[in-house]
Amino acid sequence: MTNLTKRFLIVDDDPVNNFLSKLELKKSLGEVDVLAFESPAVALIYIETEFEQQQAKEKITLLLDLNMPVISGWEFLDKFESFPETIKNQFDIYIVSSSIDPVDIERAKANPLVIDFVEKPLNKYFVVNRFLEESNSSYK
Amino acid sequence: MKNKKSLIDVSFHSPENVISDEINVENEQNITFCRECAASENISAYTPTNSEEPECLEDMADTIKENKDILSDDYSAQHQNRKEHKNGINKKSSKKTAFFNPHKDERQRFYDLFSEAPVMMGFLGGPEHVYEMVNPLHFKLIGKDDIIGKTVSEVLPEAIEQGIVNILDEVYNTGKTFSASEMLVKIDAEGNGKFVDTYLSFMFQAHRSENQEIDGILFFAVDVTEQIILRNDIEESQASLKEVQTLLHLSTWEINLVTNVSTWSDEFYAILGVTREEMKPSAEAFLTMLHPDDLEFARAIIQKSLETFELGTLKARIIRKDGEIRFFYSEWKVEWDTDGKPIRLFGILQDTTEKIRAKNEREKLVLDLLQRNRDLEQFTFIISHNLRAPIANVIGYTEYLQDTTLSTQDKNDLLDGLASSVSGLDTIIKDINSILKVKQDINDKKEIIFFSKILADVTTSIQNRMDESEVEIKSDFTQVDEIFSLKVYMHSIFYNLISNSIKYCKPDEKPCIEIKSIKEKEKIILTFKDNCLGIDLKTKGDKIFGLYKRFHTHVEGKGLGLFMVKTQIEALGGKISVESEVNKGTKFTIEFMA
Repeated sequence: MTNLTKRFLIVDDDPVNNFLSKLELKKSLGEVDVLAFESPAVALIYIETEFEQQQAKEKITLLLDLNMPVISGWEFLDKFESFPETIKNQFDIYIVSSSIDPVDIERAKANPLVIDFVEKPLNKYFVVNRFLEESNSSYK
Repeated sequence: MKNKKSLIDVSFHSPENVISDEINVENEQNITFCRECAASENISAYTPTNSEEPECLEDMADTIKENKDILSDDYSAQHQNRKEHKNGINKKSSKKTAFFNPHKDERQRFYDLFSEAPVMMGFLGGPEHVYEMVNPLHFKLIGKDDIIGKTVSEVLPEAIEQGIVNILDEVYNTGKTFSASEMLVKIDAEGNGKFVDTYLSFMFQAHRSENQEIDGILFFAVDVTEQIILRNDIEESQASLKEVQTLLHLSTWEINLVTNVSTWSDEFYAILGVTREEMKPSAEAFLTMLHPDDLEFARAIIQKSLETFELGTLKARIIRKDGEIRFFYSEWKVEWDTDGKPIRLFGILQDTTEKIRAKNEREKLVLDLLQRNRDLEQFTFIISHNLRAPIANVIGYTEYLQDTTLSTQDKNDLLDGLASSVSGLDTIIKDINSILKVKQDINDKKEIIFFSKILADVTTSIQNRMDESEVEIKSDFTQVDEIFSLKVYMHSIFYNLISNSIKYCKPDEKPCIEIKSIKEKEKIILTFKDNCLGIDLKTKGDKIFGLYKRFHTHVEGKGLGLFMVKTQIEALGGKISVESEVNKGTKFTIEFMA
């Protein structure tokens, strides 16, 4: 049983949210690797360059905010869509948004790139249920 | 021995009740005519004076004896023997038919004339006005047939009250002819106590006997009820047509193409706001009432119709002499004679002012509702995105703060975060307030504002930032410097646009802002042009005025400024548009109605 460190990427312009999300993930999952980007543009460049050649051993969870200046979460997804499958396959994308607008929720769930819509703040039960169980079942 | 037994009223039902004789029957052998009407006399060939003669009496006796039914339809037989007798012809003669036929024809003509005359005729005998002779039309009018020998008062009791009998008395007593035209009389024609309105034109004329004494009254009457009803109907429908025209503000007009005479209905004058005395109808006169902006095309349309005789429509405005502008719609066509020559151009003209006003109101209402709907959507957006974000953070912080194992340092960090989230929440609530306030402010008083003064105020308030960035502002308000508007909004518009330019200036170039006002027709156009960073409108164009939309991250900003500018301009009834090129600059164009 290998104990691979689960990796997270957070794309959100709100540093407070990023701070809190990191805290939650670490608290609930223990040893995790969390990288947060306040700029979606920078995050896209990072993904494109870092994961083009190298293949992650385990899927990386991408927590994406929707309401961001300059590039919104939707625009981020559009750009991400254009990446090669080899890059896309390495990510599980969750929309993590403060939005309670049903339009956003429906739209997020309808997007094939998105696994689920998660309402902010990132909640303990969700994190534990979704990520702890998953890592346990896969890597025990 | 002559012994008067009875007075029989012999009323010949022949062919209808038209002629009456009074016969005294003293005994079976002795019958004398005491009265004989002129018609009878002519037929029987005896006058009352010679009816005492033995031949006549013999004839009468024969008549009564021979005719099983004296009231039979074939009256001619009754007098036949008398005529033959008087003319010296043996009644047994085989030649009698040769004499009979001309008499029969003559009688027939007389009866036809009398009974088929299109006027009522009759004779009322004596001071009591006894019906002695009437033609069928009169029977028909009063709805009775057993009237011969009865007085007018008996037959038509309603005539007493209506003064008819008095008139008859007057005519009988004075001999003066009475005539009336279209007089209303009420007749109980059905005999059921219900009086029917009947209009009669009639004449009562005294009849004098041979000794010049008045012995009765001749009457002639025409029932004009139908004509009157028809005329009333026409008058009524004309009145209701006029009423309809007034109610609908729908008038009619026509041009007689032969005489070139125009006619306008009353409502046409009412729509124009002139009286018949003030204006003689003509196309030219009408054109003088038109709004100057509509005159040219209206004249062209009317001219074309008068040349081509095609149907036409016209929507335009008139100006009444009191200056009131009215909208109208007119539609017309041409009537042709059988030779295919146009004879008449006729049409309607409707005042559509209220309709158009209502339509404008409706459109305005729809726009208002759409705007309100957008506001609501905006509000939902603010709640679901912008208000939720700091609340999510607050929830996050409080969750961690419940952890008792936290170090003091961690706790302080979390509390700092909580505080900043709460203040972020406060900022958004204040923003919402100022956005919603725009909707109320518009009810504030507008005033004359000078662009130059607003610009001076704004530059003073941001003097520090202006000095820092070494901004140059070129303004040109020479064309138009004043506007009737809300000062706070105008200030906000200038402030936001200028500070935006300063905020997003290029790091290597001093910002330069050109502000200009132009007067164009009924509009005041204000332009703000800078040489700053610009925005990529291809990808961001639809979001530039959106709430909390930001396009640059290197400087502080909430994405509220342009949203407020747009909201305020729209609240003032204006429009804002933008042209921009990345790294070249941005130009905002604002249009206000003057």
